[in-house]
Amino acid sequence: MRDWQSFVRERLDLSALDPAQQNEITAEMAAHIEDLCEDRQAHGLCGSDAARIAGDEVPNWNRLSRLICRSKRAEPPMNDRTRQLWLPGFASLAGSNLLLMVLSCASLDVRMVQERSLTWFPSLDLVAAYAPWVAAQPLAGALAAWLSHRAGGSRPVKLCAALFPSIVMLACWGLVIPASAMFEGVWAARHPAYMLLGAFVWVAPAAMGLLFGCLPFLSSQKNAGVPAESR
Amino acid sequence: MTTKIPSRIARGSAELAILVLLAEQPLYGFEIAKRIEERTEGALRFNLASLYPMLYELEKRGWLKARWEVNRAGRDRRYYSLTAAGRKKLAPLRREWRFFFRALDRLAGVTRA
Repeated sequence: MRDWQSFVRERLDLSALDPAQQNEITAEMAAHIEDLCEDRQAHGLCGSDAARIAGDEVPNWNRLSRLICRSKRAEPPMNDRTRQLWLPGFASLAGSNLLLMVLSCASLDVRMVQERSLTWFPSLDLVAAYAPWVAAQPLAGALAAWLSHRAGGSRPVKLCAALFPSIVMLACWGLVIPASAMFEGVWAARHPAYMLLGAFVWVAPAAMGLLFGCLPFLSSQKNAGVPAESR
Repeated sequence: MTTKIPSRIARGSAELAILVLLAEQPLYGFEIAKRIEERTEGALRFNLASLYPMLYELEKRGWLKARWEVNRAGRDRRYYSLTAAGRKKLAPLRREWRFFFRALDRLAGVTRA
């Protein structure tokens, strides 16, 4: 009797699965072919004809390998949107804000900033914290775009993930900061121009930096690991 | 004379065919394929390449469970049986297909053809 397990193993590529699964599937397929062969022989076919027919059960072994691996693999723990947008976006946001926090702590005296930031002209120590932060934004943009690119994100998704810190900052300046300033009775809330300037300073240059960092990843498109037919 | 149903149509019906058979008793892959062929008088036929990806998919969805058992010939075979979730899925699936056939019949008069 032919060794159907070797027959299946030679044709079926299950390397994406763990060895226990590979053995089980191979044994099951071999058993199926063995039964089929015996059934054909019981219906009057000679051994070699039966073996040929059993071998013809699979017109395309590569396709079968792909289908089986896809069926056997566990569902990815995260969906595409999480991997392509949210995770890179939050990584970039965390990186950007962490850097801002470190630079602020390292170079600014909070009381001094509170006094001086209420003028139209930034002080030198504010610039000392702000300039390196803006200069480092391309790194955060590149990180987000790379993560999104690796997960198979489309161009708009990569862009969105990279600009995520600026989008959040814009939301802060557009909503959170004015609302809290009004509640606390801060005079800046009564001066829209001051608020606009603040929003511009904290959003636009950083966005430019983020955009600059993500540019190299916007040109190329990469497919996610999942075969196209499964999408 | 029995006409074999084209694979693109058969593929859609595989889920129902497998669940219906396994609702009766646990079977292993070859038996499932053979019974489908016999019960449909050869109109529906699943080979190794079309059957197992479907079985594994249904197993992953939690509708089937499988375990190795010795068959009547004394050989180890992987027997599939319906889980509670699979059994629950069978009735709505039957309804969907009935609805589909009625709709198709109204459109194309398939039962009068």
